[in-house]
Amino acid sequence: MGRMNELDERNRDLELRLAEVAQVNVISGTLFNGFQDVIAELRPLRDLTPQREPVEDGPADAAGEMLAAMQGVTLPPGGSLQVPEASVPFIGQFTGPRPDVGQSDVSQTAGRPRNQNQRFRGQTHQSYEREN
Amino acid sequence: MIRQLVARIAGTNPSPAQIADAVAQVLTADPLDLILHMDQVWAAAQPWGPGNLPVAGPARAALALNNAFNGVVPQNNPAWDHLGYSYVLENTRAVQIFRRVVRAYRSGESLGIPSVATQRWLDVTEALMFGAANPLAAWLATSAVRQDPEAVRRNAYWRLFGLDLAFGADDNRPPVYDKPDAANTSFIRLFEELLNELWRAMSNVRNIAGENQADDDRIFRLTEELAEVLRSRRQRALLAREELAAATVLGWLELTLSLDTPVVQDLRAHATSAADRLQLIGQKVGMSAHSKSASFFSMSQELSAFLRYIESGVVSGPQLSWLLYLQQPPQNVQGTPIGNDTRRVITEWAAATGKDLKLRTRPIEVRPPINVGRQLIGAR
Repeated sequence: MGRMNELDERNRDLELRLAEVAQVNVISGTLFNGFQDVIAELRPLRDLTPQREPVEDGPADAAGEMLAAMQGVTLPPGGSLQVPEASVPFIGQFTGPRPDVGQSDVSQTAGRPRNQNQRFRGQTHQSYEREN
Repeated sequence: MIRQLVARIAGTNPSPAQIADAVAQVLTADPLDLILHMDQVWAAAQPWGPGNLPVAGPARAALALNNAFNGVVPQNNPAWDHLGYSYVLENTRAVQIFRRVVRAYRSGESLGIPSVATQRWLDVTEALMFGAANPLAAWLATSAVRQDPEAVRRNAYWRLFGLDLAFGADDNRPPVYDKPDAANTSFIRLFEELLNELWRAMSNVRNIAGENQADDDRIFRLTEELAEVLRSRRQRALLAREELAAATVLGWLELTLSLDTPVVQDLRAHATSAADRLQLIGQKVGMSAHSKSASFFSMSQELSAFLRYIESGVVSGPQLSWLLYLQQPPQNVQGTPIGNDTRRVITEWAAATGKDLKLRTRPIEVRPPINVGRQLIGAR
């Protein structure tokens, strides 16, 4: 313990001597006092700084709600929006079995129906019977 | 109205997929759904206040309940943008360009065959922007007396800002619209002087050593007079319906251009920004967009918040001027500052108008404070 104290004291002594050699204590003292002087001289200018006060609760809430209501969505730049589209049939074009028979195939390509025995979309029952 | 609707559909903290889904829902909506929802937004804002006649009767209110967006009706506050938003977006010339797009699609195949989504978009655009018949007119403002929606908007811009659009009619002839004497012709000089003062205040936010040039009293005086000027045209909710209709129309076009949407894809106008898309579409229909369109798009939302904030009167004294130029409230001080919005408005307004708002010009005169005037009344 005594050895530790001795080493600490020696260390402080070395630091002090080093500071004296490098004139650090003089520089830091000058800088510190200098800034204090500058700060003291500039202190009156602080009075020119705007005084900022809080908004009262009522107006603060109203303004916040108003801005929140106006808040819109932010969209990424350069984005793209894909809306899927099935093939659109022509009027009278066959689109698949009737709804009561099964699901129609919305992915079929446009063109005349291959099965000539099936009805076209919009074809009446009477005309279908007459043709067949 | 449109971008707020998308935000309400997407919900809080939405994922990109939820946002895309919300945009798709709006862009492919039936025009009647959008118009009925617009009526709900109008009624929810209670523009005439709670103690007066309701803005919608029982039949109209009941009909509006059937719209596809009935589940996301806002409450109390106006959920649409300030007329300033519509003014800067309309200056891009988007409305006139899209009028030509609609005409070309509806009268021939020169632009190609529109997809199903684009045909739906055409239905909505004709209903919202060009008065296509609907059970309920989107405007409730156009009639045999004032038939042209663009003329109604120009009239509103003139009354509130004392400004005309940067271009004439579709054929470049001078625009024809009612130009009343009661117009805020002092708006622009007050507005630009305020932006100049706010820039000086922003430059001094971190100034802790020298003289702070932020003139909070001057900012307050300009803000107060600007609010007074704007409110003088808003008495008893005048221009509110026109503002909502204009925000809906321009919001519709902004959403259309904000992504490569189906109509943008059909027109082969793929680009990375709204301004570039508009420029490409304009080239297809033989009409150039405004060269400063990028600035107009960039500041539209911020200008809307900025003007609404000023008009609300929340800056009620010099001690609250910080609300307009700080980005965060000072420590232990309550308030919602809009410094980020202000900064964007200053930058883009300077870019769009070519005026250097950061240079100190000769200060304009403002009227004496209201309190002083009140004291003088009745003085002997």
